Parts: sequence; C-alpha cells; structure tokens
Amino acid sequence: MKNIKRYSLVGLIMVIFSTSCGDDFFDINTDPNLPGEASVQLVFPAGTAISGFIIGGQYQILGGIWSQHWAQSVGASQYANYDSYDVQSTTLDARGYGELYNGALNDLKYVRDESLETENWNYYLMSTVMSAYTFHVLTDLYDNIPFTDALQGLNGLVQPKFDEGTVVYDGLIEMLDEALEKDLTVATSIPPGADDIIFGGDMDMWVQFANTLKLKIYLRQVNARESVASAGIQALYQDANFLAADAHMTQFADELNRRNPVYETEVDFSGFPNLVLSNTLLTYLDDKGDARLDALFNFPNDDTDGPHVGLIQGNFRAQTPTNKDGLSQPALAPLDPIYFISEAESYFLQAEAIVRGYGTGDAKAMYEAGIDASFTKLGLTPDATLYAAGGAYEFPATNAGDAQIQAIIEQKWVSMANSQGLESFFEQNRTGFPDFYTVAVNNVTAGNFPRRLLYPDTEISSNKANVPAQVNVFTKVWWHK
Amino acid sequence: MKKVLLTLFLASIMLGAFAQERQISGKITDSQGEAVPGANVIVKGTTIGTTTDLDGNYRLSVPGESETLVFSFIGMQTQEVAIGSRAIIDMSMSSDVQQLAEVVVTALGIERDSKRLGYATTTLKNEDLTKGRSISPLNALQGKVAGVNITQGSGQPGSSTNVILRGMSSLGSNNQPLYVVDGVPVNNTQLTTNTVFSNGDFVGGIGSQGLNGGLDFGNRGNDINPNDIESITVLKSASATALYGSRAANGAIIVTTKKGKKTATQGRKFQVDVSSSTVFESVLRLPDFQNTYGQGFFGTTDPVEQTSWGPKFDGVVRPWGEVVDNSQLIKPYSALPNNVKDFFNIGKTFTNNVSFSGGTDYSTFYMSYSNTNANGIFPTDADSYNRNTLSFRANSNLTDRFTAGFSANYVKKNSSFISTGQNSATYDELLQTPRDIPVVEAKNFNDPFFNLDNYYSYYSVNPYFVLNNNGNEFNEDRVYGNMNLNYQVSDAVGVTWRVGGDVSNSQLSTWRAILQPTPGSPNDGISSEDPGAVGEQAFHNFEVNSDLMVNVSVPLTRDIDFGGLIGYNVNMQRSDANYASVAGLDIPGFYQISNSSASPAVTQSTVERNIVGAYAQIDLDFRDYLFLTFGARNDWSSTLPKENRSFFYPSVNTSFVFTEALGISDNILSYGKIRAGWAQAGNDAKPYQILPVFVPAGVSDGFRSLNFPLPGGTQVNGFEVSNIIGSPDLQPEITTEIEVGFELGFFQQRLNFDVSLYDKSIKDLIWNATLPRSTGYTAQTVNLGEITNRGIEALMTATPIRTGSFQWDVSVNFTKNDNKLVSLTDGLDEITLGGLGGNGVNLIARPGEPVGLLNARGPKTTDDGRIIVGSDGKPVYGEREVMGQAAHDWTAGLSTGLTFKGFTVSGTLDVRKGGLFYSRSASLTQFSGTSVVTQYNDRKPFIVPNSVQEVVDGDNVTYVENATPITQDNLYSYWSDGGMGKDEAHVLTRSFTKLREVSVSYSLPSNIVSKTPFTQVRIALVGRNLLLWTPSSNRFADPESTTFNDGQGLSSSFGEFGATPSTRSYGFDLRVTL
Repeated sequence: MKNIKRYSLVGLIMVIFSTSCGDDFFDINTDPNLPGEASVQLVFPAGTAISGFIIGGQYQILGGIWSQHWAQSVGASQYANYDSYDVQSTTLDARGYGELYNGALNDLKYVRDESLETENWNYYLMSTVMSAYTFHVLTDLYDNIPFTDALQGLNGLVQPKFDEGTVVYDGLIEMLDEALEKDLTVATSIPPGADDIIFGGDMDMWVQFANTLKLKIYLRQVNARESVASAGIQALYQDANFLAADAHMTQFADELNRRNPVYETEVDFSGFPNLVLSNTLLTYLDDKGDARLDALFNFPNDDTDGPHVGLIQGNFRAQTPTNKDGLSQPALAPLDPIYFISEAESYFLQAEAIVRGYGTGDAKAMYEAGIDASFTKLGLTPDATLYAAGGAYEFPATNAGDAQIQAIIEQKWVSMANSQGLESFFEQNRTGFPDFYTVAVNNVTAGNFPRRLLYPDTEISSNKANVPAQVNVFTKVWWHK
Repeated sequence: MKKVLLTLFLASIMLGAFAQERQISGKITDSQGEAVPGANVIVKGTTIGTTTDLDGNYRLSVPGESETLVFSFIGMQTQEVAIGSRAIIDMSMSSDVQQLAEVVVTALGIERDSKRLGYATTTLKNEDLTKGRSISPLNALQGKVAGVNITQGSGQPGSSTNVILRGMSSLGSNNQPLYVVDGVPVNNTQLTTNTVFSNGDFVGGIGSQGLNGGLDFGNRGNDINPNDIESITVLKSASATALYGSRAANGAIIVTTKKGKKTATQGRKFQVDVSSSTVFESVLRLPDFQNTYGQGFFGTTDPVEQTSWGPKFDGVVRPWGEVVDNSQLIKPYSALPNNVKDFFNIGKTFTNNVSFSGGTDYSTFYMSYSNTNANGIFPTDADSYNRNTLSFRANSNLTDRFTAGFSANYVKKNSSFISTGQNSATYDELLQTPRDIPVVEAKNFNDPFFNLDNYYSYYSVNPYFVLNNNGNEFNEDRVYGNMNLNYQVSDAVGVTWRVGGDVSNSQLSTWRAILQPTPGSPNDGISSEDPGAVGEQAFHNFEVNSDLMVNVSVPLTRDIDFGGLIGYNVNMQRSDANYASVAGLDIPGFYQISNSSASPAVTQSTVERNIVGAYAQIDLDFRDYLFLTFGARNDWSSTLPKENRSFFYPSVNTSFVFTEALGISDNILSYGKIRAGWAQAGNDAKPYQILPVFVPAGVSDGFRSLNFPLPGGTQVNGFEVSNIIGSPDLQPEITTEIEVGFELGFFQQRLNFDVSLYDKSIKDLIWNATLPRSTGYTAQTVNLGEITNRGIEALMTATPIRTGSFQWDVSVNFTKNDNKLVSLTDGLDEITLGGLGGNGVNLIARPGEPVGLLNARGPKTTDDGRIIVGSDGKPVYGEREVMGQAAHDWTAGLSTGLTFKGFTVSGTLDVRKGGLFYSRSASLTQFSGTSVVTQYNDRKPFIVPNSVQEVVDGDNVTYVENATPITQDNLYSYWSDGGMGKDEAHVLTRSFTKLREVSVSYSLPSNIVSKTPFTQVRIALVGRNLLLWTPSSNRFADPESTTFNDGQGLSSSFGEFGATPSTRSYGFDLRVTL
C-alpha cells in the first residue's frame, strides 16, 4: 500500500515533467537577433548602396587605373596587379562579382518580387532599374554571366547556367520596359521617401534613369548589333525623356565606415599611398589648359602651385620619386558621391545618339552641356571658351572619321575621372577613344590592353559545369569594336 | 532507526515466507574497522540475501541447509564464509585495490563496476591530475589517455585546451566532448576572438577575426579547480555516452568532485588540506635564428631596416636607428643570439588551495577555496590569468530512504591576453627583429630613440609600446552547481532527481592606443598608424539541466539480475551578448566608448537552445560474469525543423568476464574480459539554421566598410537578405559506432592490457555548403556527407617491482585513428574548412581522404620532377596540391612511477607522430631573413638545384637548363616565397615528443609528522613540458601551437598564425593535511 502511494507520487512527478515541454518549448528556433521579414523600404537602400559601394569603390579603382586616370604609385603596390594587367581568377571575386550577386542583386530581387506581388510599381521600377544597372556592369566586365538562372538559390536552382552577352542585353531591356509600362499612380504604388537614396522619392527621375540606362545599353551594342541599337534608340526618342541631373548616392559622413568607399579605404585606411595621377590624363588636360586638372588632383608634396607630376602607366617600380608624395594625388573627399549615371554622361549619351542619327536634337548643344556639367560637378564655373570656335574642345563640324564621336567620348572620359572610371573603361573598349592610351610598362599581357575580368574562383569552384572556359584578360567582350 | 528496524522486520517476514529457518546477524567492517553500509550478504547459490544498514549491521534468515554466505561490496574483495553453526558472523572486508580503481562513473553519473562495461573507459585520479601542477585539469590528461588528443593553444596562461576524442567527427559543428561535473553537463565555451567578436563589425584595429589580433581567453572546461577533482573519466565511444544525448556525440569528460570525509568516525571534527605551489615558466620553443647576417637589405646594411638581409657580421661599430637631435645610437655589427629570448621574462604561477571537509555517517560537507595567479612570459602583466574558485558541497542521508546532495561552485576569472597574428602583434614583431638589434634596450618606449616617432624601423612598432598601451582584458563570474535528491521507494526501486545550473557573466574589454607618430618625424605615415579604438562586450550564459530517473534492480532468476533505468532530461541553454566598439579616440589613454566623435558600432545577440530527452536502459547480469546492456534515447531538439525534431538512437553492449565464467584463477592469467558494443548517437544542429532571415545591411571591401544606417538629413536604415539559405529539411547528424575490446590481467594484475578497436561513422554531416554567388547566396545549410573514424587504442599497465617499500609502475598507451571523409553530396569534390584563404595555405576536405588536409602551392615542376623557374631564376608557383592530413598518424604516451618509502618519482612522455601544420613563424622568419634556413649557400648567388626554364612556343612547351642564379637582388623575395618549396615550405610536420610531466615528491614519515600539528606533509618538485623534440625539418615552432581556435576543434588543427610561444614550467609544491 505504502509503495503504491510512493509509486503514484513518482508517476505524478513524471507526468508533470513530461507535459511541461510542449511545442512551445521547442518553437524557439526563430532567430531573435535577425528579423524574418523586412519591408521593401529597408531592403531597397541596402541593395542599392551595396551596388554603389562596389561599383564606386573597388571597381572605381580598377576602372580609374584601366582608364588611365590614375596609376599605381611608386613605393606601394596594392594595385600593382591592376596597373600591370595581372588579373587572376581571384581578382575582385567575392568582393566584386560576389557582392554584386549575393549582396546587391539578391536584395534587389527581393524588392522586385515583393513589389510585383503587391503591385507596388514605384519600388518595382526602382529595383528593376538598379538590378538592370548592376547586371549591365557585370556582363560588360565578364561577357557571359548567369542571368536568366541567376538569383534562384531559394528556388533550388543552385547551378545557374551562363547566358550569352546578347541574351543578357535583351533581357535587361525587356525587364526595364516591363517595369516602365506599369502605372505608377495606382494606389498600391507606395511613394518612396528618404529610402530612395538616389532621387529621394522622385519617380519622374526614376523614369528618366531607366530611359538613360536603356540609351546606354543600346549604344554599347552599336558596333555588334547596329540595328538593335538604332531601333531601340529611335523608340526612346519618342518622348526623349532622359536624365538632366545626376543619378548618384550622396549619403556619406566623415566618420569611420560611412565615407565614400574609395576615400575610406584608400585615403583614411591606407593613408593614400597607391593612387596617383596618370601621365595619360595629365598630358591631355595640361595640353588643353583645362582647369579641371587642378580640381581633380592635388599638387605633389602638398604644394599649392604645382606643377603636377604624373606617373607613366604601370611604372610603379620607378625609383624616383621615392613615394606618392612626389606625385599628384587625386583630390578625393570623404563625402564624394557615387555616380551611377552622371548628368554629364546623360548629355554625352544623347549627343552620341544624335550624331549617329538615331536621336533627334542638337548634338553640339548636348556635347557642350556635358562639358559644362562636368565642370559644375567639380565645383568649377563652366568655361565656354574651351569649346568655343577655335577652342581646344570645339565640337567638330562633321563626324568624318568619327571625329564627333571621338570628341564626345574624350570629354566623357575626362568627366568620369575620379568618379566613373569603370564606365569610361567600357566606353574606351567600345569606341577606341581615347586613342592615346599607353600600354602599362610592366604589363604581363604582351602589350595588350585589358578588356575584361576573368571568371572568378568562387564561381568556378562551385559551378564548374556552367562556367565558360577562361579566356585572357585581353580578350574582347562581344560588343567590342 | 525505528523505521529501519521496521523495514528489516518486514523484509525478514517476507523472506521468511520462503523458508523458516534460522537467523544470522553480524556487522561488516572495513580494514580500518569502519562500518560498511550497503554491502551485500547472500546465501550462496540462492537469491536469498540482504544488505547491511548504515551501521554495517545485517540480519538474515537462511534456510537450514545453507552452507555458505557470500559477502560482497563494490571496491571490496568478495568473500565466502562457511556458516557452520554460528548465529553471529562478523566480517572484516578488505578493499580490493584493483577493483576499487575500476569503479567507473558512467553516463548520467551512474557508478558501475568496470567489469560490467561493454566499452572502454579511462579514469584518472586526483593524484594524476595534480602531479604536474597544471592550472588546467585538462592539460594534465595529456599523454595519459589513449584515444584522446589534447592540445593547448599557446603558452599564454589560461589559453584554451582542445580535446578531441577518437578523431574529428563533425565539419560544421562542435568536435569537442561534453563536459559533465557530478552528473550535470556544464558549459565549455571557448572564449576566443571568433566567439567573442562574432558579431563585431570591427575595423580600425581591435580584435578582428582570424589572422589579425587573435585572442584566446580559454575554455570554461578549464575553470574547474584541479584540487577539487576526485577523478576524471573519459568516455570515448557512443556506447558510453549515448544516454547523454546529442551533446555527447563527440564523447564526454566526466568530472567527479571530492566529497566530504566522514571525519567524525575517526574522532575528528574536520580535516583541513592546504596546498601551495609556485611554478615558473620559460619559453619552450623559438625558431632557430641565424647569427651570421644582420640588419639590412640587398646584402647591404641599413640602420632603419627591419630585416636581416644585411651583410655578414663584422663586429665593426656602426650607428643604427634614426638620427634624433643630431645624434644616433651605435653598436658593434655583431649577432645577439638571444635578443629575442631575452625579451621574455620568467613567468610565474602561484596556486594556493585550502579545503575543509568533514562529516558523520549521515552527512558530509566539503569546502574549498583556491587562487591561481599567473603572469606569463611576456614583460608586463598583459598576459596574466587570475582565477579564484570557491566550492561548497554537502551530502546528507535525510532518512534511510532519502538522500540529498548539493554542490555550488563560484569561479572568478580575470585574465589578460596578448593579441596574436599579424597586426602589430608583439611576437610577430619579435620574430622579424634583425639579429643584431638589442630589442630589450627599447624597454623605455618614451626614450627619444625608441618612441613612436623614432623607433628604429619604419616597418615596425616598439613591442614595449604595444604591450604597455594596448590590452585585452577578460573578467568573468561564474556559478555552477547541482542539487540531487534520491528516494529509495523500495529495495528494488529508486528515484533520483538531479538538477544543475551554470550561469556566467562576462565582460571583455579591448583597447588600442592612438598610434600616431608626430607629423614629419621619421616614422610618420607607418602602416600601423591607428586612430585608437575601444571595444566592450558583455555576455551572459545560462544553462539548466534536469534529469529525473527511476531505476529498478531485481533478481529475475537465481542466475540473472535485472537492472532498469528510465529517465527524462530537460536541457535549456541561453546566451546573450551586447557589444559596442568605436574607433578613433579623442583623449589619448582614455578607453571608453564615449571617447570618440565617431558613432559606435553596437550589436546584440541572443541564442537559445532547448533539448528534451527520454531514455531507458536495461542491464542484465548473468552470474556476475556475463553482462548485457541495452540503451535507447529519444531527443527532441529545438534547433531542428519540427518534423525532424525527434530522433531516436539505440545502443547495446556486452561484457564477458571469461576468467570468472571458466573459473580460471591461476597465478598467470588472473583476469580476462572481452567486450563489444554497438551504439548510435544523434547530434542536433546549431540554432537558427532553418528559417530565412534578413541581416543588418553593410558591405566591406576587405579593408573598410559601409555601415548602415546611412547618414544624411533622414538616416536610412537597411536590411539585407541573408546570404545563407537555411534548410527546412535539416536532419540530425547520426553517429554509429561499433567497438570491441578485451582486458587481460596477469600475475595478480601486475601486468594488464586493455585494447579497443572501434569503427565510428557519422552520417548526414551538417555543413554550410558553398553555393555559386550567382545564385544570390553564398551557402546553404545541408546534410552532406559521412565521416568515419576507425582506430585502435591500447593500454598496458605493469608493476614490474613491488616489494614492501619499493614499487615501480609503468603505463604505456597507444592510439591510432584513421579518419576519412567518405562522401560529400553529389557535385561537391572539395570543401574548405579554414586556413589563410585565397591562394594561401588552406585546410580542406575531400571525399575519400581524411578530414583536414593541408593544401598549398609548391613549385611548379616538370613531369620528371625538375623545378621550373621564371626568368628571374625563382621557382614559379605550381598548382595547389594536398600535402597530407593535419591529424597525427599515431600517438603514444609513456608514464612511469617509482615509490620508495616516502619518495615518489614519476614522469610522462607524450609522443605524437605524423600530421602537418601551417607555421607563420616559418614564413615570417624566412621573409625577414632571421631563420637559420636563410643562410643557404652562404647567401652567395646560386642556381636553384635541379631547375629548368620553360620555353613556350605556341602549344609546344620545352625546357632548358636554368642558368639564372638567385642573387642578392631577389634573394629576399626568393625566401619570402618560401624558397625552393614555395608555400609548402611553411607546412611542417606535426610530429613531436614532449617530456610532459616530471614530479619528485616526498611525504614526511609519520614519526616526524606526528610531532607536528599535521597528519600529513608532502613536498614536491614538479615540471611540465620540460623538453620538446621535433624532427629536424621543424626548426620554427611547437606543433601544438594554434591560433585558429573556433571553439570547435577542427579549424584549430590548421596550425599557428603567430601564436605566442609555448612554455615549459617547473616549480615546487607543498601539501599539508591538518
């Protein structure tokens, strides 16, 4: 009897214990540190800023050197590989290619998917434009890239196939057109605010950004698929609604990890030992007496009155001067914006479209507006004498021998110094202008200019079946002249 | 007492029902005359029997025809006595030395006679653990246990100890065993930078992960005061640990603490034990430095260079360092062979311990306090460890059926650790110091010649400045303990409830001084310029564990005893961390988050995990020589998806003591047992690997970052889609292990063998598999493969000599483990587990090969093995290739002890053979020309032996004999690339032999002690890690050193990245008992 009581007591305790751990006890595997949901207003600025940080950061350094705005300094060697064209499959792998896919594009895809579902066409357009912009950079750097299969990891598509450049280009136009067709005025379209870190919520400007991006994409194909380019641009000129302002990101502050990325890493972190004025740009601007030179570069040894000293491209092993102090360094500032498409670039694109006869309007006026915008961007007063009759930058009367195109692209090249190096690298690949680049003295490419990046290691090792065979860094991409 | 009598009375009536014969009673005592409660008294050949009460008395009715009584008790020699006509039979039982040593604490704190176990165990007693006076109870196991690989990360006091049992068994999860104190699991977190700063978005200096500024504040398993430990049992196999559930999938370290002594029975109120030791530490291993070439570059002297690529020493007095106020230091240009060694001090560790214990037959208590104060070998107390422990335990028999026990431990730790790695880390600077630079003269870092502005090299920072001005301090208060209640419902059924808790509060402060040479001074613009930084992390750990168990013990038949156990376990773990850091300080020397105009980075984190287990065990005992145990456990873990949350795993093992079964008991073979076991064990996932999440937005270029919120008129916050895809289908990792073994004792157990063979397979390994970035993600958590560990463990113990006053014991253990990654999911042929990343040396895994392969780029070679050099005469890099596994091929330990009267001399030798490790010390001393290997060919120009140059003509590749020598122009870069071996030259053999422990002790004879207030006095000289032997190819580092502690054990096997040197220790120890 006594034992029965005892056993009952024990049994009771066991029951109490065993029932105390229901499902609630185990349903604690939702990470309390990280949210399971986030609004498009929080994710859009993340994707956009990451895209900007890469394109305006490490890609800007690569582009600045390959556009011969900058050279690797002596006495240091961080970017000696860029300046000798010694790129490997590891160059800008995870922190370039990788961040653009898994940092920027996957966030933008989330915003696209969410806003498509909720018919939030404002965010749909914004995220589509930023996606297209980012994909465009990737395809121009790598040629074939994962596009139609890309960003589908969550759907179990973990071995994306690579698409031909033309497929990507057509796809970009298609996705931009689809987003542009949506009615932004419907009630489900939420007006963006400060989280639109490019235009502060101005949707008209997003439409212009989309159109200008389309113009850029079409013009890039002008050598390879002239008919596609001309038809597309003519259609765009139905309402010729392009950017007349910068599409840029300005949200920086002069404190740790909140500065412009080139300034943050190269100036604040490294103490600025690597980037100096290239002789190519120095010679060009100096010859023309162009005031932009002094705005773009500081004199050596902190002098106030020059002269500028540049370095021959790739000459980072030179013994004199002994370090960057004896050379002109780019005048970078912590709050420098990151430009996606600058106002000047928009004008130069339009000028070219008109010269080529796809667009209508005054090419000369556009060209001059581009030069003016380039001065304004640097805080300078525009100097009309430069492009006045007889001036150094006078717009050629005809396009004989591509003279007008050359003038436009050379001015675009100058306008992109210190800020849009990668874009001017692409444009030189496309047009051959400027035509006075010097091949780097320490080049490892048998005298060839670099034209692309190599497929990255992380992709090769994890997507072996699909990555195309590696080609040389000086192999031209599909749209190259 | 009345109740006891009543029970006995009832019992006797019940027994009386079988046969109504005569009564026999008596008292059982031990050799000291103390009562033995709970001893068994059985009528031979029947199931009739009883146990003695608390006073050792028994009373038993025996059938008339009964002839013999069998008296038995765990730890005592079983004795048989003829009944004859006696009614009172008192018995004095003597302890069975061999048996006593083999009562083993198994899973859930259950004590079992080792002969019943179907698996291997090893138990070390307090004496073995405290002999060498290590402040870590785990390090004290080194070399003494088969199947266990124990390494201490560095010589800095308090650094963590890695313990791996029977090989690596998990890729992405923990490989460390479960730590159990008195039946309750406790926390063994390794407090390394990878843990501490896991969420720290930290740039600008402090505590970045991996290669820069690695910190290691130790693992919590080392918090236990070695003096409080009665014994440590190592449970290696799944058979042994399956009842503990998923957390013991890698084995378990079972710590049993000391209980109070029943001093009242000896006429004393309590006993006091005091011990005090002083141990000194010195550097065990530095790289072999050359002493022929001094400061300079390209073969010429340079007074401000930080490398030893200068000309040969000539003894000529020359200036060195910067010109300061028109003056310059001078010294002879000659080698200072000990300039690095002289930098280090003699470290000191003082350990004092006092314990009180006492009790009666019913209740006992034990209290202890210990203090360990260690200051390591670096000057200043930037490497120090101070641990205070306070313990209290009490056990009481509240009634004859109800016992209660209680234990509480408080640990307070304050420790400081020196940053390792490459980022102005002190040891890193020292290894590069030119061979003639008197670095100790720079001690006064305010001296004009040695301050930040003028310290001799632009490429270096005065290490004394770093030691005195930067710091990493860790403080922790921890309380752990348990309570257990046991109620004996009836003779056959008992209930135990044991609940334990482990709570710690910790604070990590880390700071870096503003390092900014005066503008215009010689060192202005050095790469280590630092705006100063400070980081503070507060973290809190909580764990509670409850076990409710019912056990049943009944004889089934005359020959078969049945033991059963069912239990229910609840385990809850939670940790919280808050972290703030800021870089760019305003007021020099003031280390507070407020001291900066920059916005601090602030993060927080909470991690929770709940596990519930239900388990059962059945023991069958046939005639005390054949034993069969079935076990099963089901776990429910919060970390797995709901449908996979529950997982079940069974086990079975058997033991057959054939000497008893066959009645063999001759003088040659005195004990023989064979055993076999099969078991499964499950291992759950880490928390939060199932559901998709968003992470705070941010992006880095490898140097600096862009942090959210973005500044501006309206700050903009951001979240990103996480780059890791969770797995809604995640399964637990399941270990299946087969183990067989035997134990043989010869010559009355003077010579014993214990051999185990095991085959362990771990399936459904959880791993974050790399995805192509183009998927939008970097990795996906998946179950992806299988690992096997097969091995043999052998232990031989012998007592070759045993006379009245002299005894010599020898013990040898041997372990060989073959580890293999059997498979990965389709399409994956390699995964990277750790290492330097990129083109550097890495730790990888490939199917069909051991987990943890070192993979490096050697020189490119022709098909017939000739080295291909470039136009500069230097070997060019070849493809990356696997050099071999990180793990040792085999390990062995040899321990011996001599006892003569009061003297005891003992020693342990630890031998480990094979395996590879990466050494930054090798890389750095070759880079800076300080390594002895850089003296090759007297540094005269030479053509790389057996080298050719490649001539490429289209697709046609031919080779021509190389005629381009290495000259002073590229000698430096030849060696910094690793010389002829390229990166492979930095991968060294892990083989070593260490004289782990030596102790010489003397206990004062009792005739002298009796004239003092003490009952026992012992003095000892102790030493640990006194000697290290490595193969001649390793002239750089102690193979045990590691920097890559991630708290899991796998990536730390990669090697050392500027880990501070290991140490030898030696000192003396005094113990008295009052």
